Amino acid sequence: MTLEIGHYLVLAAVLFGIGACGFLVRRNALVALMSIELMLNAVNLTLIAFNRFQPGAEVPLPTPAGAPAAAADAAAQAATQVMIPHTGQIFSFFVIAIAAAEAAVGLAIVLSLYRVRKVVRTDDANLLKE
Amino acid sequence: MFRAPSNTAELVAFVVFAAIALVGALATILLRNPIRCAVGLFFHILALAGLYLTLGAQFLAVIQLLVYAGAVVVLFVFVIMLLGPAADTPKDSRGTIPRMAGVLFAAAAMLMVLPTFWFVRMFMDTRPEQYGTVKQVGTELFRSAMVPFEMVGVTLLVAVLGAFAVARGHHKKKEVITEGGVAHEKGVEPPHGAISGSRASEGRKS
Repeated sequence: MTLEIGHYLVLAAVLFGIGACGFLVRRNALVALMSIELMLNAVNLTLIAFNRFQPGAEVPLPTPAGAPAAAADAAAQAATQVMIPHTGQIFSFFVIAIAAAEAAVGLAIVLSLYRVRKVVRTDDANLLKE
Repeated sequence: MFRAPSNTAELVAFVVFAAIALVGALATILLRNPIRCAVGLFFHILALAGLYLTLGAQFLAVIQLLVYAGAVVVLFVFVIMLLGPAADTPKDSRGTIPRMAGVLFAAAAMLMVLPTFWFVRMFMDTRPEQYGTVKQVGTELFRSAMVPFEMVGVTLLVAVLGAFAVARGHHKKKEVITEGGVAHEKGVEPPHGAISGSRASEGRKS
């Protein structure tokens, strides 16, 4: 039995489902934020799995201008200077960055809610409704 | 169809990390104490970093550990400690039925998605020599994702400033000094009227 992409996709889907259920069920705003992190992580896993299983063709890098290029040297460089596509990993890098920003702002909002209501229940976050 | 030779080590690593990730995720959403939820999230993140390693994404595994385990989980724990007992919400049975309906729909959507993965058959082939290294990922990041990279930097800066602005609160009430003494802004109740009034009058004397 070998590893297939389906294994990773099923695992990521189940983790996303757990995160979604936690977000829908839990009343604690902190745990709701943690569930969002679970969902983002599941998406990251999917992106990285697709990137690993189908990275795509390698792209040769242009040699830097002005570099002295001996014939044998250039051939040796051309063998090493290739760029493997990492699009999925780049995507998930940005997802991690945005998730960090979201956690900072979300926790600040939770603190703010606690100042006003003295609880962190999501049911009590209805200040805009009143 | 191309079929890679079976790699038992990778399979074992996948199974172990997947089990830890699942248990961590379940602990995050099921446990009552928020600190235990945070610890569940921590183990979930560690296991995901291990899964990234099985996928050959070394750079992202390190980033995951640094950013998630090192920053986000610690931030969660700080906030839980800051809130103290208030971080734990008491049991409340209002609105259980809509929530259960939401869970049913989420589970149904998940179950509908799962069979489609049967049709995606890709096997892991041997990865290129430099796949997932910092050099390769950095080259791609600064070649084809330069503008998003700069923009995400600005986004993080704005998020930090916004978090400061939201979390700092307004400790100093705006005080308007009138002839009769201290009048607070409309709609703002003075928390300790006598104390702040006396303080303000002292300030006026000096």
